[in-house]
Amino acid sequence: MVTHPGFVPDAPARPSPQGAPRARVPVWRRVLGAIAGLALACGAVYVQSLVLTPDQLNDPITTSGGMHDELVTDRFSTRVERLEFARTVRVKQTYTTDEATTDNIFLIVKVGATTPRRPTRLDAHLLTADGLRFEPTDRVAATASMADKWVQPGWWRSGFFFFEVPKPAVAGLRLVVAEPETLFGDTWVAETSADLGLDETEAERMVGAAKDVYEVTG
Amino acid sequence: MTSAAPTDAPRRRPILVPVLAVLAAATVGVSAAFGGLEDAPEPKADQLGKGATLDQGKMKTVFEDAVVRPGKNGLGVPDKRYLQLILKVTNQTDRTILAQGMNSALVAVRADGKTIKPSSDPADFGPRIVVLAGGKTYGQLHPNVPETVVMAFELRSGAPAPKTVSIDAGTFEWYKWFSNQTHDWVPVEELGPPTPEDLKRGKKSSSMPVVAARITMPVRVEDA
Repeated sequence: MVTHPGFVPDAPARPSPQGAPRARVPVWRRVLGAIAGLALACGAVYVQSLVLTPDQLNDPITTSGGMHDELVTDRFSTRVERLEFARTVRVKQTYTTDEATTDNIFLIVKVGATTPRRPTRLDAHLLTADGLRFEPTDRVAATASMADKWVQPGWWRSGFFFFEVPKPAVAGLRLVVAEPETLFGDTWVAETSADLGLDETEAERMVGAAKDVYEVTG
Repeated sequence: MTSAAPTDAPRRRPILVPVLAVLAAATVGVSAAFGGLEDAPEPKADQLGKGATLDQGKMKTVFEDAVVRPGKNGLGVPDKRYLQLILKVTNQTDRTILAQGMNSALVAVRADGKTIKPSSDPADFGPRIVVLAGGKTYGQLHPNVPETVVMAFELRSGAPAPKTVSIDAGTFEWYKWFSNQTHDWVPVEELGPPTPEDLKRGKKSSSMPVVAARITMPVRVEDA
């Protein structure tokens, strides 16, 4: 039988006999390879430092921004609208007036919020520059707080969060807003974290210009 | 011709056995001199007085005063009298906690030697613990902010006011949970003799808080 040339594949080339001189690798390639290997090893060691500690594993997923920024998460969006400092907060209700005083200072944060799908409530806390967490004060009646109000899809609604902070802790404060914690603690909940723009001078100016009385209804 | 036989080498003295014997004797002797293998006695709780400061880990507490006075706004009703422990508490954690947490920080309270906390009456929910500021009562202790905390025990009507009060204060440790490796402030506890309930459940011991300090204060009586 006649086979056309090229129809039957050529036999694979025999491996070069043992001991044959290997192709020489130029020195610059060896050096480059060593540097690349070192870089990869260093990178692997460095990445280990980014591993979350067990204490951080349940941390929320944070959307960060500044004053007046619309911070969007899958569950809700927030926007810090205004800051006020005051020495006294007066809550006017239908029949009573409740006055809250402090040796520290009250920070009143006006926050706007909306949600994409279902109604929700929002809680907030402050984080100081050195990581201390301040919950909203219980000296101001809870009825005046945004935490008491429902946030609905379709429109923005605004409300106040009232905090009591020592004056030295004011510089560098952040406001963190999240849905109320569930009893057993969900993982990967969403939160928004807004830098309140209080650097040293601004903090001193705003605390110095604090109102004697801040009056709200609620 | 041939190398020297090993038996020609100078005979070695068996030194290991006597050295071990001396070491063993020394170990026994030193252990015996320091009280044998018994547990060392527990360090006695500090004895503190009025005005003392105690670092309890989770909070720093100054034991300022003990007063018997009638109740008023937020702290009981006017026609009853209360034994009030006045504390200055600074929250040393990194977040806002509740003053009610002092319930586990002060393990036991005795008035004139009689235990009033923990109460023997299961229907007694324990003392009322509040933050007192500007004549009103609140519940929060913000981080690093010293606040006046009042722990108030109701006195039975007609009962004489106690002369002294003694407080067993415990401490908290930054504890790492075995299950998920997270940390939390947890009261320091040790195993002690079983309580009657634990005996009923078949346990041989109960874990009870370690008393770090015992504070004894005279009680003032204030009217109106």
